[in-house]
Formats: sequence, structure tokens, C-alpha cells
Amino acid sequence: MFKIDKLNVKIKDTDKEILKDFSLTIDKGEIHAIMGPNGVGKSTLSKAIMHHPDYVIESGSITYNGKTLNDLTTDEIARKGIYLLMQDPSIIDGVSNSEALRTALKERGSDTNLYSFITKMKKELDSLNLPKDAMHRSINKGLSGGERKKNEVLGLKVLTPSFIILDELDSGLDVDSLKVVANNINDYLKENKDTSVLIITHYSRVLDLIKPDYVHEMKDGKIIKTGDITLAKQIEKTGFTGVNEVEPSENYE
Amino acid sequence: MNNILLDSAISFSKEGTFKLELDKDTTISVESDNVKLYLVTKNNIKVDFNILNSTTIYNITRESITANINIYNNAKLDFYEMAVTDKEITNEVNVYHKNKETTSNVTCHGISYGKGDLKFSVNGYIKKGMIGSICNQSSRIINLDEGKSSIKPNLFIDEFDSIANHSAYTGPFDEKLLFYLETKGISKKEAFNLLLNGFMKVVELPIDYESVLDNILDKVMRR
Repeated sequence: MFKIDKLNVKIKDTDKEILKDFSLTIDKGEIHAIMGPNGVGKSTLSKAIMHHPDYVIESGSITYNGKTLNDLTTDEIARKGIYLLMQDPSIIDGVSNSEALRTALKERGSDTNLYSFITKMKKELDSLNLPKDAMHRSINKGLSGGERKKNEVLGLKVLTPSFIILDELDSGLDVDSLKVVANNINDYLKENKDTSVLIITHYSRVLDLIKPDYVHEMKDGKIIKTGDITLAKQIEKTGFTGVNEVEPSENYE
Repeated sequence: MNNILLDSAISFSKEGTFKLELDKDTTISVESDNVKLYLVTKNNIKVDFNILNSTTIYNITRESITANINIYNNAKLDFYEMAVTDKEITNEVNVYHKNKETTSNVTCHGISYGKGDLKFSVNGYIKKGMIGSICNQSSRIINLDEGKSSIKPNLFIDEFDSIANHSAYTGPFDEKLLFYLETKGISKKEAFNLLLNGFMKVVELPIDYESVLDNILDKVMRR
């Protein structure tokens, strides 16, 4: 079980509070989606979970399978089985995908046998429609936005996490690439039924492809509504609560 | 790969890959096409290059060096400098486009660690009449510990019909990159080592040459 309890998060070296008494519980195998307009703290949430150095947890707790993550480092959190698929994955010139992923497996004490690693990489590259030589290329270098997302899914399938955070999965992806990426994630979830997912998104289109059990609407650093997919559809239709809402006007004649 | 004991002047008239260790002032002329030179330079020397055909040069150094590069004919030069130091050193690279339609791509990467003070001075010269010449520079130095650094990228361009670009960066590794690798479960130390290796081996190096760089980087990683 993944649990966030009354989490308060500030931007480092400022008084700007982004998450305010934020609480959320995700059980094994559940898929939750958080929707909200720009600036409500959705991406901050994903970064705060992974202890991004720009954010400070003021109070509250994050626990995963009964263990508190508050005092762990980013890499320790990742090794607990949490994987952040970033909205804007970094480009790292000179460090190849295979070097990074093999190092990550080694740090987990997993099998890093070269033959089985290469075989696994080739299989996953194929399923993501990425060229075979992508494993030897610098991380995300020369890739389009969509290919970078695919590359992140490659990491997911190799590192086999049990809790996945998808931060704006559909940004930078065309319709076809979004389908490929979503199909790969769905395949992974079928094979790993206990894996939980937290989807962070503006739009419901990604939720048509990766079906959530729960949809939450976020505003001012906390969840204000919870429902199922119909909440996402309602948001798509009428907009987020309190944004662009039109007060009924009196009819003067 | 060939190891060559050098006189103070040498010319390459056949294509191939050559590994050289230089510890005194030297003049190198490249006449053949497709020559790759792997250099390890010592003793604060000056090296003059006369490039008459397509050439790639890689230089690893822990000490000061002055490289004066003259490019002739329609030659294209790719020059990579890799400097790692905990001392005060200056690497000067001067590129002179001596004929029309000559091309230079100069990439200088450095690590300044301990109490190091690494200076890059990279100068590209295209005189009037050298139509169609291209002069590109990219210089980056990563500072570790109390290491200091500076880059002086200069382009002296007198010909309108030419292309010249430069970029320079000094500072630590971007926190964003470390965070990215850490989110994969890689410890800060290993993430740092991956970035360090990647930064210095941004081009593919032959195995024995890579081991020279490994030996130098090993000291930085274990510090």
C-alpha cells in the first residue's frame, strides 16, 4: 500500500507552499489518476514523492508497504520499487541507456548478466518500436518528445517497479505513440498485477487508454473531489472546479 | 593502432589510426585523408598541426598545452581535448583557416578538481577571403571540490561568407541530471561517476586509449 498522509511541501528556500495537507491512499494493483489545471501541484507531488532537491517536506508522511519514505534518498526510494516516468525526461550526453539501466540493476542486486540484459533490452526495444541501437545511444539524445517517453517506458520494463508514477504521459506524444506507450504499460500491468499506478494528467484521453480505478481532482495543493472515470469525463466536459466558471447572470431587459 | 616514437616533426601520408605520446614541442603534418590521431601530451608543450586533409584529433592531458592548428585545402578537422587537473593549467587551442572552405569543429572538455584551476583559451581565425569556411567551438569544464575554471572562447572572423559558432559552460554537473539517474535507483556516487565518464568520453575512444582516461578519472572518482 502506498499512503500519503497530510503532506505539506514547500519550494526549497522559499515560503511558497505547494502541497497542503495532501492525503492519498493507493492499494496494491490500483490505478489512480490525479487531474487538475496548471499550477495546482500535480507535478510537485510526483517530485516530492521522489525527493527532488527543489522541494522540502515540511510535515506529513509518505509510506510505501509500511515503510516511511520521508528520510530516504531518491535512489533508495526508487529501489523500493517506485518509478517516476517524468514529464520532461532529461537528455544525458555520453551516458548510454544500457550503461544507466545496467548500473541501476546492479545497485538493486539484480541479475546483470550481459547476455540476458541485452536479450531483455532487444525484446523491449522491439515492443516499443525503438531501434535496437537505442540501447547504446546517449540517454534521450536526439530523440523526439515521444521517443523520450518511450525510452522511459523502456526503463520501466527493465527495472520492473511495483509502483509507477506517470507524470503527464501524453505530453509530447502523438496519438499513435501514445497508444504504443499505453499498450506497453498495460501489458506490464497485466504481467505484474500487484503494480499500482498514479497517473498525473490534464486530459482524460490518457485515461481512455490506461483505465483508472479512481479519479481525483486537485486544487490548491490538495484533492477536492474523488470519483471514477465519470469524474474525468465531467471535467473534460465542464472544466476544472473554479476555473473559467461562469456565474449565472441576471437577465436585464 | 600504432605507437610511434616521435621526432620533433612528423607527417602522416597514409590514412589510419595512430596513438602518440608527446613530451616535447612537436610539429605534425597530416597529408592523407581519414587520419585519426590519439595524443597524450605532457610537459606543458606546444604542438603545431598542419592539416591538409580530413583529420580527427583526440588529446588527453593533465598539463598545459598550446595547440596551433593550420587548416589547408578543403580539409575538415575534428579536434577533441580532454583535460583533467588538480593544478593550475592553461590549454590554448588556436585554429587558423588558411584556405577557403575549410572546416574546424573543436570540442574541449575538462574537469577541474581539488584545488585545480583549469583555463581554456580557444581561438578561431577566419581571414578575409576564406570563403565558405566553418569554425565551431564547444567548451565545457566541470568544477569539483574547490576546483576553479575559466573559458575564453574567441572567434576572429573577417570573412562574411563563413559560419562560426561557439558555446561554453563552466560549473558543476546539473542537479537535474543527477536526479534523473537517481530516480532510476542509482546512488548519487554512481550517478556522478556515470556523468563524469560520459562527459569525458563523449566520443567513442579505442579501448587502450579509454584506459588512459580511466586511469586519470579513477583518481577523481576515488578522491
